Amino acid sequence: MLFRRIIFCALFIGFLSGLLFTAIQSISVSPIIFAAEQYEVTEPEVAPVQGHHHGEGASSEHHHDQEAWGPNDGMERTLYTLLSNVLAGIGFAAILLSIMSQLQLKGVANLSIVKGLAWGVAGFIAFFVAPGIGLPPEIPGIEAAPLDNRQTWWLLAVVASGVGIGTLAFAKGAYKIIGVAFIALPFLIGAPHSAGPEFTHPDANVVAILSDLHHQFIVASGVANLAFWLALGALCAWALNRQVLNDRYAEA
Amino acid sequence: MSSNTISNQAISSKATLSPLVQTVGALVFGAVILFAVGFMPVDAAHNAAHDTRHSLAFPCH
Repeated sequence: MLFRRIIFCALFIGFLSGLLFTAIQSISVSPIIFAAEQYEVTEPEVAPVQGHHHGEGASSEHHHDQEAWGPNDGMERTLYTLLSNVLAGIGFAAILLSIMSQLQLKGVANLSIVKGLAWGVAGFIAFFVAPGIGLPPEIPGIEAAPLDNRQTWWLLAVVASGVGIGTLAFAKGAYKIIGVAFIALPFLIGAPHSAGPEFTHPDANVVAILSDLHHQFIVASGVANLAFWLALGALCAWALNRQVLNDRYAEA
Repeated sequence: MSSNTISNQAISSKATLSPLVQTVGALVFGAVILFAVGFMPVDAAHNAAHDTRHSLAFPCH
């Protein structure tokens, strides 16, 4: 069954690409997140309950701890990040494989590993570059527009650029114009932006440090995402021909 | 007997789902997982996937 083969391959590819992404991320991306968290402006704390709280030491704690469950820093946090990365890899691989399968079954696409790398670049542009032009990757401590608005625009940017790149790649002649229109659409609408300053920290020196970290973060996360997507594209193309659409596995 | 027949019919109708329906199903599966990792507005899910959301440049916070 086609569905089952796509899901099975997506699980496998998600695991491998998620491992790769976690390895790169733990070297170059996570340290920047941790550094930025040191400067996060915590909500004014509610007066501690008498005698039950060691007031002084608590201020350096991650502010999430007081609101809801979260993994402890260190190994536990890394493992949850690994799990989330693998799940994201599974989701991306399932989407890539289903589009690849449909286009190859229709005779529109004819995948190879090299073309798979090109699909990976397309995925990188659709899921990272295009939404990132309007909403740059963020480090903790950035003051941005309301989350709902950003998520809506992010989704629009991803879907519109994905459809646009696909149309540019596969449509004939003048129909490619439609692809350009799709890619331009989210930017004509415009990404939501906060009216206030980017960083709310009161100290100008800290704001300078955070701006520097932010620039490093955009480069580091870009490199990590590109590697992630190249792995996803190549592995999905390989699995498509080897497993998903292989006649040996296609029952009746 | 009759339940056997019904389940056989169910299986055979499942096997003949068109490739389009099956690929769309797989696409929805992928989208649901991505929603859970990147967008689910539950504090525990947000905290568990926090570094992934930032690293993938999903809108966070």
